[in-house]
Amino acid sequence: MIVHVDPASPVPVFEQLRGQIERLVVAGTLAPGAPLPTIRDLATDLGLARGTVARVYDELARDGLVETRGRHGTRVLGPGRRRAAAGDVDAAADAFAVVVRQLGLPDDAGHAALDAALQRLGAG
Amino acid sequence: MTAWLGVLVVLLVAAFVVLGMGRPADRRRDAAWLAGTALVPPDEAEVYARYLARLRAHRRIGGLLGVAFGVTVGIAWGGTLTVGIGRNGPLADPLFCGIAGVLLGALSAETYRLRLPLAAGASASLAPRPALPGGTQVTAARWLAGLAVAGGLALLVAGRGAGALAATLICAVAAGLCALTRHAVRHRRRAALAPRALVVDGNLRAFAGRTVAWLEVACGALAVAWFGSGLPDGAGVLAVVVSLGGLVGAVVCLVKASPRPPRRVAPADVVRPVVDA
Repeated sequence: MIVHVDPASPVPVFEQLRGQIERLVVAGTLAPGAPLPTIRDLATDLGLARGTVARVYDELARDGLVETRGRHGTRVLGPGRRRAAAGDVDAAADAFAVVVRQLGLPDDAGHAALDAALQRLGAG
Repeated sequence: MTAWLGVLVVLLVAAFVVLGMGRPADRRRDAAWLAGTALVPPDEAEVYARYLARLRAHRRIGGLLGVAFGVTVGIAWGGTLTVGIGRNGPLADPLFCGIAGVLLGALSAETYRLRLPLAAGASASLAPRPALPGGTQVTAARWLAGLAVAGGLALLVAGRGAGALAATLICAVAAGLCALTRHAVRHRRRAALAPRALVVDGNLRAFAGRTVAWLEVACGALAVAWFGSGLPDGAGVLAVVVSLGGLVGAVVCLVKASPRPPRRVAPADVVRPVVDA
């Protein structure tokens, strides 16, 4: 379970991180009860301010996806009523397709870029 | 100990260090030792080799500077060289200063990190960091240091002077430095470029935690030795046993904390590198 943030992306790193953890919880990749890294450790690994990671955990806790118990750390509660939706992938694909069109790239270049990104992330 | 014995020990240490510097590192054996398997891909072996080379260099320089400091202070303060317990305290003891120097070198090596590229993205694993090995040694070291400091305090209360207490406190500070190093190892940035990188990082972290834990025991043992040196004359055999036991224990722990594979690890000729498919 590896998360990735890109400071150069137009999406704020806070939203990048929150979205990735949310998806992992909703998809069940992060099982209920699974511990998350401490705020300090995750901030160190990603090169982010601790406040940014703390805000992500706070938001996830507010949404009922995780539970923070002080010194005992943060644990996954489960997806609750949320369900992984195929529409999420469609929406992301739409956004990607818009970028490809705006840059005037051929379809093959878009497909190649997507394949390369999936390759970098490794096997699913 | 007498001055000639001190000089002899320092010469032995210097010879040991020089021989160690002259010994070429067996990269494949080192990698197999750290990875816990003989099947280490070449790129991972390179990571292990560079880590060990840096760790050895920092520890060696730290240890040599420590010994030099101890020798200088010993001669400047006491006019003589004493290894182990003596009248001038741990700061004039090349053994203690050497261990403290090795510790500082280890701290320096374990906190050494290249800066992240500015615009690049960063990856992180969501798996919490595992506990470092060596917990038993850390507990033992803290008990040893705590008991030694308490003993030094008791000697102060009993009117035996503050020398033993001061000496044990200095050793306890060195043990605290070990705790600081383990903390740095546990919470330093973790590479998460790929699952393999996480495994390599975990191996390096476990090795660092284990060796620093043994250094912490060495500090605790030295604290006990210095407490023994403060025991009253009537303690006789007990004082000798405590002091000698502490010194021997410290040397044994120092050897266990060495960044060199023990002899039982398979020699290089049976360790075959694996090429990535």
